[in-house]
Amino acid sequence: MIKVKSTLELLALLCGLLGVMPLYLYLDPAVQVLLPLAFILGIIGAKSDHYLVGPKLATVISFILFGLYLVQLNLANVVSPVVNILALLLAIRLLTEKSGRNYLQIFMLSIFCLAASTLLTLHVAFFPILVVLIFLVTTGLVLLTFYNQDPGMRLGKRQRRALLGTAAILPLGSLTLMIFFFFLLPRTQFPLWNFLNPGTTAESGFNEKVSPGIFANNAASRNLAFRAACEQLPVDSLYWRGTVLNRLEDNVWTRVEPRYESSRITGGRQVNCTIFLPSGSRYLFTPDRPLDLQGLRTQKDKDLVYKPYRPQKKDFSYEVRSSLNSSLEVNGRINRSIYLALPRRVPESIRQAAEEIAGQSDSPQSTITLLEDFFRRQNLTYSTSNLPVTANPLEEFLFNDKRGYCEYFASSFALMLRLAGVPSRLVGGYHGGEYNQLGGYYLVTDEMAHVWVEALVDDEWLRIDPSRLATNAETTLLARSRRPLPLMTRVGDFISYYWTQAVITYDMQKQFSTIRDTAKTLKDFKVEPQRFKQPALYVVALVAILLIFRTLHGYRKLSLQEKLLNRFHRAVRKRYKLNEIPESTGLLELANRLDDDDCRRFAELYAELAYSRLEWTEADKKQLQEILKRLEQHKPKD
Amino acid sequence: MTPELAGQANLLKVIDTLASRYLQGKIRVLRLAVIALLAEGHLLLEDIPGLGKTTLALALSRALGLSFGRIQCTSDLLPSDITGLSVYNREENNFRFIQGPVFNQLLLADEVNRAMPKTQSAMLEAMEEKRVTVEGKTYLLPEPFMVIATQNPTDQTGTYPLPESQLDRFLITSDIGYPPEELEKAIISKGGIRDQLDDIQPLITSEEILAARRAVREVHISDSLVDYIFRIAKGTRAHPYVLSGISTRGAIYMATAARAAAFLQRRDYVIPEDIKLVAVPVGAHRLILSPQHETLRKQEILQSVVENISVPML
Repeated sequence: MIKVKSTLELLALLCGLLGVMPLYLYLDPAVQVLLPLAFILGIIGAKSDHYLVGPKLATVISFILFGLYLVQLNLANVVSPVVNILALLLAIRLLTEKSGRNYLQIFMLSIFCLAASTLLTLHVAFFPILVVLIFLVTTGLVLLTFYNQDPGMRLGKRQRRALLGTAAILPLGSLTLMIFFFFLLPRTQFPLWNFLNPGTTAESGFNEKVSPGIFANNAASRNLAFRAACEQLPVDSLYWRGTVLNRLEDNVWTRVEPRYESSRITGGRQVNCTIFLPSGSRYLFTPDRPLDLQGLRTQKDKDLVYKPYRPQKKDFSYEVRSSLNSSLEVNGRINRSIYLALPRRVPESIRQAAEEIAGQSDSPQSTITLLEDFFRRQNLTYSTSNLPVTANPLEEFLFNDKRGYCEYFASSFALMLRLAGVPSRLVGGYHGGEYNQLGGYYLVTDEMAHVWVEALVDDEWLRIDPSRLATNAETTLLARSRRPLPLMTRVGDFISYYWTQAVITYDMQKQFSTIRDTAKTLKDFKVEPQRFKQPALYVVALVAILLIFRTLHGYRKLSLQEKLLNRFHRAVRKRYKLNEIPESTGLLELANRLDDDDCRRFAELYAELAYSRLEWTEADKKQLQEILKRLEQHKPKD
Repeated sequence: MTPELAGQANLLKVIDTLASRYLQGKIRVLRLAVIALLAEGHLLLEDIPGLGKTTLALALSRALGLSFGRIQCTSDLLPSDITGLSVYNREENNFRFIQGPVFNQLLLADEVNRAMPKTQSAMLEAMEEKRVTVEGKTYLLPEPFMVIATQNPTDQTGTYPLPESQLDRFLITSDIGYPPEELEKAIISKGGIRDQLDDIQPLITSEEILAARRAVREVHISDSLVDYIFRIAKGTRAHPYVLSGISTRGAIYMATAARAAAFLQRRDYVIPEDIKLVAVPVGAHRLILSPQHETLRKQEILQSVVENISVPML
């Protein structure tokens, strides 16, 4: 026997937790602290039946907090106060002693909180939370009706089961309806509120400018940059080209769109790749070097930089054909002066070093080799933290501190190439990627943002990655892309990938084409691993597996005798076209009535095993099964 | 089945021989009679005269090698006419007990409902206790002992219908029914077979019958079938037309009769069909119908109860 009250208490806590969870990160810090405190105090209160805050005090606090946030409320700032108020009201309700009405309030507030969270984020977790929350709230509401009748009521095991069964009907029904409405109702592809004030991802990852020495730390996060669905590629070819920076001015590399330039890609290994980018991205990333790009209106620059024609408001994707490790040959005229332009001020030490190299060199190729040797001699280390902030970061990097991240390496390398008379530019993008075997795509995160150098040697742009010259390149730069993400993260990202694709960016046309594709796939189905990349097929397979499991599970619950009997009845029904065999008919009676020798043999043997003292042996089972097989082979009688 | 039970083979031979040669078309009632014999019970035949009740009893007694006694019940029949009485022997100057017809192994009590209740109860007590006490002395009845009583259900004048408590002492009640058409014609053309009965040779000894009775007691009845019998009994008790259903004794008899039926099928375990076979003959006369439904046939009510109870299959 369990008290209805304690069950309700638990449900209220769970509901509150689930409702607030997706919202938590967006709350004010003060509220973030208060919430868990309220939860804990609420639990302690319920356990000891002694509450810190009385109902009157709670009402007063509610009003004060309400007023506090009401003041902040204005047209430009609507969501944040509302969300915080919701969370606070929920916290206060959890904190105090609860009556039936209060439980109802908690349930409602939880649902409001969850609903409010969709204004701020469209995370995949919303769906499971919604399902669980609906289930919990319906159970809670059913329990509340009991609680209202008699607060001291206790429920037995059987009653609880019946209650759960009843409570399960509602969410099941509403979830079915939800699937139906999913196809009909309009939807948003971005959080309604949050897209206006985009979050905090700008500080790290890919930059349109390269300016080493501005920040002491470059703490890149593991936030998603983009996903690229393609076959698995060699690690050292994983350069995702984003932009090309060709102008160096006061330690800042920026981009000038090259006008008169044409080039040709030859050789290399061709790959096709579909890239999924979050909304708002201004550059399109491609496996280096891209041949062409489809599925989006783009602007292609001469130096293989693709930009969307219009900024995209929602998550989008495009297909790229690229040629890995290919050579990029300059075709005809090229304005070398942009790639040789030097900033007004170049530190003397760097200039000296570069001139020294230029003096020893007899060709651009040897200049590069000598420069690489110089970098190695300097014993530079790859590091992203505690870097000196100075006016001459490159000088500091090369000769004093000798620590820096890719921007330091690339900037100084390109600068010294230019000083030595070799045209050069920086390429910004990403290096590496976490291959998700489940979904067959690369997950590229912000921390993989990278800058490398392209140098013009004998009319061919060579890719040089100076970061590899760091003494600890093996352990930091490359290890980064080899370090596998935890399994849970990978599976989570896989689910989120399909959530984005199937739900957030869902549109009718796409759905139709999926259905068409599925039909086509099923029509000429061949066992090819690539086919399994189709999400629709996953769903079909999952449903099939569930069905099979269920059937098997249901079947296994029957005893051997029941299985044999069921088979016997089926066979007899089929053969003699009987609709139903009454339960009051014995087996032998049935066999005699049908005057069927096989039936009689089965009945006699079965009866002997079922009603006598004998134990079932394997031989008996086999014999029964043989009789059944014979029975089943008979054609239905006319 | 164990081979040492010669009684079984011989009993089946009795049924076979009688049914094929002397009592054509009466195999059902013949089986029930043998079941009653094996289950140490008694048989009540309810049918109109002239359908071969007496012939059946005679033929059975011959084939089974049992001594046969017969009482024609009338309203002036006295208990001593059944049990016997002591007669003064002048030469020896003492009373000598002269055994009545009850001291036979197979007793046919014709038209038992014509006897007055006092006589009826004397006979029924003898049936139940298998002993007779006359003038302070107790005499054991012979083994095996079985009564086949008949009563005419249509003839109501000057009868003392057996009360339910007395009916309860009969293990099996059955009618005989008319023989099938062709058979009846043949019987009409050939005449009765009463005179052929003398030709029937005993096919089994009393010892074998007693051995068979012991074997019947050993027949296995599984728990699920005990439950089945219980559900039948319970079903009659809950039936809306029934005032009082099958008693515990009725259920015990049903199990015993089912054991005997299984034994006759050469099985040492009971199957549901055995129970279904004996349920109505054993159970029907034990039902007491509610007054407004008294005109219904008890057999049909019990049959409907049985048809609504699921057979245990596991």
